[in-house]
Amino acid sequence: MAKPKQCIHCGKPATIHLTQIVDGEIRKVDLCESCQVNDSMAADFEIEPFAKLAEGVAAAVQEHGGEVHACPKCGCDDSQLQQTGRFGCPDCYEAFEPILPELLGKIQPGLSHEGKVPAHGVQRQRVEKKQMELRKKLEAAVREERFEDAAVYRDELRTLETEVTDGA
Amino acid sequence: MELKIDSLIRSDSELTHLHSSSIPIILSTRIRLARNLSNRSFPNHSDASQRSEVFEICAKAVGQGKGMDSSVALRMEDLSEMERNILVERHLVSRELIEGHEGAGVIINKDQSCAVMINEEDHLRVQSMLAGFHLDKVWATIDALDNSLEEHLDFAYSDHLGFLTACPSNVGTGLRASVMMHLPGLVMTKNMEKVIRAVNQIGLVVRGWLGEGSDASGSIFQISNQQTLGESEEAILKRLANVLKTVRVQEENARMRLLQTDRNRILDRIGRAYGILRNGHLLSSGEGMSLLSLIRLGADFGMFPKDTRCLVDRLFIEAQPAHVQYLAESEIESSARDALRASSVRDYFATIAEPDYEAAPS
Repeated sequence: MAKPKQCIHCGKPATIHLTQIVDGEIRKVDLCESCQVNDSMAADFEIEPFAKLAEGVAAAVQEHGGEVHACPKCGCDDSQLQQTGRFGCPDCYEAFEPILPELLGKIQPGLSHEGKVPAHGVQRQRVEKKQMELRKKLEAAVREERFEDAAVYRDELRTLETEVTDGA
Repeated sequence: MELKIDSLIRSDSELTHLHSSSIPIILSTRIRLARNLSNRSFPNHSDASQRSEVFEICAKAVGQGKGMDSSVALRMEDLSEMERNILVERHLVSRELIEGHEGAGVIINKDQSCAVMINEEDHLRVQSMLAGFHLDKVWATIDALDNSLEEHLDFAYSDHLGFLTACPSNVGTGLRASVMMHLPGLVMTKNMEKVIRAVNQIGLVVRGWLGEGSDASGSIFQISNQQTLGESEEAILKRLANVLKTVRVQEENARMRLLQTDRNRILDRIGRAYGILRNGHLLSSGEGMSLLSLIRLGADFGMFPKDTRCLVDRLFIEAQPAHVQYLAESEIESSARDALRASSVRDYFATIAEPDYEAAPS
């Protein structure tokens, strides 16, 4: 099949393909992500979020005075984000939290989620959190020989567990 | 030659056989949701064994998902280039998926109305589609499928930012709704560029028919939302529906204007398209798209029998290069492909009556 197209400016593999129709004539341009920012035809298009995203990262980095961000979980950092426009893992959202408003502001109409909530997942998270808390309390109670308290926590943990098994 | 995707091509599918739209300008409606597993690197940041593990976990959950009965699971590395391209031409997977890394795959349900891509840009790209204009129905289907997946899988989700995705342009709902429209009137009256600009200004985007990077031959355009955060799914779908309504009225007006001011030119083009499709012996896929587009317009004008539109929609897909190659049952050169495409289209058109020019509204 067709070979991957090359950027018309630098010859690198093109990842952005624009089609413009002017007076019924079709014009096509293939660009790589770094050249898109400077291309005149790309400037006509308000549609590719990528250029805006790169702009957003650059602006955010400047705004935060050379502050460096890197995800402790996957190692994704500012330069990688700027280069690829992609995060490495879900935890990156936390690592890059300081610059998210600038980043998302360029491409999204709002900054907080208004859509659906994964009901099962949220419930599972709630239960796990509660179990962790109870286990800690239980350990502490045993350590401090407060056995009556410990019995209460143990019962609560058992109830939670049956809830989970019944739910599944 | 027994292929992994034989059963898909041979069975009737939503987009190729079931078109019965009351709004002929709209070919199909699709929605996709971007989802990721929590605590795992996104596919572009994972190695082959991590991606393979994600594929196994997701494929199992998707296979049990709502509406995914008798589905097939395909890993891209097990398919030939032709098979992968057939999946793209049938709108079941993206180009990005077939050019992707190891561990990329797709689960497709029986009537090919749901296809879940695994290890594309995100761990899961859940897609649902129907022929015709059905935003509400498609949303109901995909919402239920998403809920059933979420029963078994922990999705990366934050209260504040919603569903977390590899690219921040999808974070929040992870939803992209797109509607495929046939807009020859706007193209012929040179108004398409104006429409594209207007649509862009309200946060929606217009693309050619095979998604990003494809040209707009056949006057088929895909209009979809661009933004995913700060608005509910319902609000996104409503905004899209409103814009589609406007574009549809514009297209209808453009068609009427063409018939009133340039009647002979437009009937001439439809008549010639019929002549070539019925008699031609070499047909490139680009020419095929343009001519079929004119036949579809003629069918909308009432010049051809009603079921012609459904046939045209099927040929839009089956006249694509990889599908013709499949028909040939072997690798063939593009000139041989053009001959085979022409002969297969000729057979279909032999049974379609000459255009009834009187039927076109005036």
